[in-house]
Amino acid sequence: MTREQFIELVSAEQEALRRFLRGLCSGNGSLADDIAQEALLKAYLSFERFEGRARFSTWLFRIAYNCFYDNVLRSGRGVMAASIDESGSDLRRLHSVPDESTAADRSFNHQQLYHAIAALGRREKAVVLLFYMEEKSIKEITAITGMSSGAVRAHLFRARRHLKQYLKGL
Amino acid sequence: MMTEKDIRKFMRANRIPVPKDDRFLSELVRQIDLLPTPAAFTDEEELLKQNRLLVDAIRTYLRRYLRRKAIATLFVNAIFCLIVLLTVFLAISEASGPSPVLNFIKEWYYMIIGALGLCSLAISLHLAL
Repeated sequence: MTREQFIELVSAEQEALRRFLRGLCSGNGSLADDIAQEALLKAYLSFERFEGRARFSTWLFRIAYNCFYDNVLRSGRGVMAASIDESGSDLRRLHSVPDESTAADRSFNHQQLYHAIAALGRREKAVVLLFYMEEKSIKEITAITGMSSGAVRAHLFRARRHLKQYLKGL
Repeated sequence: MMTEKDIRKFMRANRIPVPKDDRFLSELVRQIDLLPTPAAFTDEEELLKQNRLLVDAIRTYLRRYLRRKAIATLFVNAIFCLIVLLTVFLAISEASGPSPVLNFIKEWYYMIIGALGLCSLAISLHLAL
C-alpha cells in the first residue's frame, strides 16, 4: 500500500473516528481531534502491524480507543477526569472547565445525548457509542475495546437500562 | 415503556456533529509529510514495479501450465489412437493369416496395451505436474 492510499482510507474513516472520540471526550472537540491525530499518526507509523484480520476501521478505532485511555489516564485533564468518572456524578466539574472547542461542540455539550451518556461508566459509554452511534457489531466492539463479548453485552445491558430510564424521564 | 427502537431513534436524533472542513485532514497530511515513510509503505513507482513483476510471473506460470497440459493431452490422444490402430490391425490380421510379428502381438496383446497405457499415464503426469 502506498502512503496516498493510506491517507485515502483514513479520510473515509476519520469522521466516524472523530465522532466516537468526541463522545468519549464529552463533546470536547479539540481534545478529541488531538487524540484522533495522534491515533492516526500511530496507525501510519505502525501500519506493518495491521495484519488484515480485522477491518481497517476496527483497527483504527482500537488504536484511537487506546490513545484515548493513554491521554485520559496520564494527563488527568479536568474534562477528561469528569468524563471517565465511573460514578458519573461529577457533571458540574465538566462545565467549569474552559472548552476551546468549536461552536458545534459547544452545542453538543447541551445536547440530550451528552446528558444521557454522561452518567455512564467509561466502558459503558464506549460500548454505547460504538454500538448505537457507529453501529458496530459486538464482535467489532470486542476487537476495539479488548473486552470479552460477555463483558460487552453486560455493559450494553446496563447502558440500555440507564438510557431507558433517562428517556422515560424526558 | 421504552424500547430498543426508542434508544436507536434517540441516538440518531442526537448524532454527534463533526465539522466537515478539511482542516483536520490537511493537518494530518502535513504531519505525515514530516515523518519518515515507514517500510510498510511503498511509493507509487515501486508498487507499479512490484505489480508488473507479479503479472509477469503469473503470465509465465500460466503459459507453462497450459503448454504442459496441451502436450499431455496430445500425448494421451496419440497413445489412444495407437491402441485403436493396434486393435484394428489385429482384427485385420486375424482374417488374413499368421506371421511371426502378428503371433508375437497376438500373444502379448494385453501386455503391450498395458505398457503403452502406463507409459502415457506416466508421461502425462510428469508433464502436467
